[in-house]
Amino acid sequence: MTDPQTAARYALNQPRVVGEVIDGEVMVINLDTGVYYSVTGAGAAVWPMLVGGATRLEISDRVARHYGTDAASVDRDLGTFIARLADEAILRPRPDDAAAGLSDAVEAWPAATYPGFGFERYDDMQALLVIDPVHEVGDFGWPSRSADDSEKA
Amino acid sequence: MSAASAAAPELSLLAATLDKAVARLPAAPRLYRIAGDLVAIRAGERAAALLEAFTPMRASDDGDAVALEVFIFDAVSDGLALPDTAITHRRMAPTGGLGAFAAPGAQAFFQPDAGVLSLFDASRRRAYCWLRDSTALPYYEFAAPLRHLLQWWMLSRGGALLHSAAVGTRNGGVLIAGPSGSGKSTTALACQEAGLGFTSDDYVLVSCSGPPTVHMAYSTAKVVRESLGAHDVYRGHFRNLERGDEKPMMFMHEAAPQRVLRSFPLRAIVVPVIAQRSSTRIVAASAAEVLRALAPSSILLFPLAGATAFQRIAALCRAVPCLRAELSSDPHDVAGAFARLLREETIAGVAAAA
Repeated sequence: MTDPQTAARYALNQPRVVGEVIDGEVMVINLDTGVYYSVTGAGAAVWPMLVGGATRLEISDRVARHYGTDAASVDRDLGTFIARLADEAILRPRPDDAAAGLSDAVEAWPAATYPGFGFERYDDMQALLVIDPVHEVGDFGWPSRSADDSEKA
Repeated sequence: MSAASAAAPELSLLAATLDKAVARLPAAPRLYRIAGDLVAIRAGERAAALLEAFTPMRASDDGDAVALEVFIFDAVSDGLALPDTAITHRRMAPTGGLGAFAAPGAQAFFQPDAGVLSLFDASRRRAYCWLRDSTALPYYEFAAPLRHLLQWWMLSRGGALLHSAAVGTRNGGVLIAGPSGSGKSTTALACQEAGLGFTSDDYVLVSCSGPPTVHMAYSTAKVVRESLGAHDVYRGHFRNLERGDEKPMMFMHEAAPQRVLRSFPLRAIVVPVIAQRSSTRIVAASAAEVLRALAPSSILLFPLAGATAFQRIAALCRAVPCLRAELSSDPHDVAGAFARLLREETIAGVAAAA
């Protein structure tokens, strides 16, 4: 029987999330929250597979074969990595019927020995999204502020 | 119904209202050469105060086709009220982010605090800026006017407006990338005081369709209030000194017109790091490190810039050497390090040492 977790397929959560592979690293930005991320190690190498819809099983198998390492431990690491990406709404589930023609491409492998799946989260830019905060508007309409806002100002 | 499809009729209504009011503006446009192209701006006297930062880009009519028409309205002097729309109410603003609205070929962004509506009609190459009251704008609107319109326009023609400082010579220069407080403004001012050309301390235009070229967006330079003493030579040029909650700013075309550098070929992107070293050291950095310094603020400050801006910034980081400047605390030393870097063979040498 197929394990639904290892058989799941994912896509980048566009248009809220954008990602670029550069220099052995993936930089991801969530445009709604202002949080951005860095993915390194094996995660950067298999990023095209992951967002291209390969299953967890296919990816962990590819990583384990490349590094000649234990497939079960790679799969555990990958499961944790995917869970974090899903928690941060970087990935969204891909419907099964969208599985045809998926990418099996990888970026350059980053190290001779298995480096694990690096993931860093940065939230120092979130304040930029509230530079011009939205004000509540009363029934009398914009551009006048609501009475509450006027009192706060 | 998605916000985008719901926004389309509202965008059309706003555009039609603004379009109809164009006749209220002076017929003769002010011409500017921005990012290499002719831009015609029509604005009444009150709203025209917003244009001071563009002064070095003033141009005469040399017969070139106008690439972009901009219309700026001041609701007070031009007597123009806007229709009540979801955009100006921001009923559809996505939770947690700046509210902006897009429909095919058009974008709009409303800033309720500043009282500024920006609307770009790409198909007609027309941009509209509506100001609730131009005399009540916060200082940053004078420091970087029309920035959302310029961003959408640049993205539509293969470039981008970036959150970066820029210094150099006519032969080439560098972007100095990093978030506010990273040292980019201080570095840019130190470099211009030491004789390098000044193109930006905060926002800059980059054309990416050919060899990457950097263009001045604004003549503005800002400093933190605590460092005013270090820039005493320009004290007479600083604005906002009486406003304790605003950064002092000046216009380089007034303070040091000989240092204004309107454009240059991009040679490298440098991330400054305040390192308190005895002497500044510039070393190779990874493209990923530089992308992290340049992309988030360049994208997040600009609603609807999104994926296109990100791809363009990443392409820039791949196209030119990426460097890190570990700064000393001596501005003269910092400027000297950048001046040495701008000898082309130095940039190549530093990048090759990676």
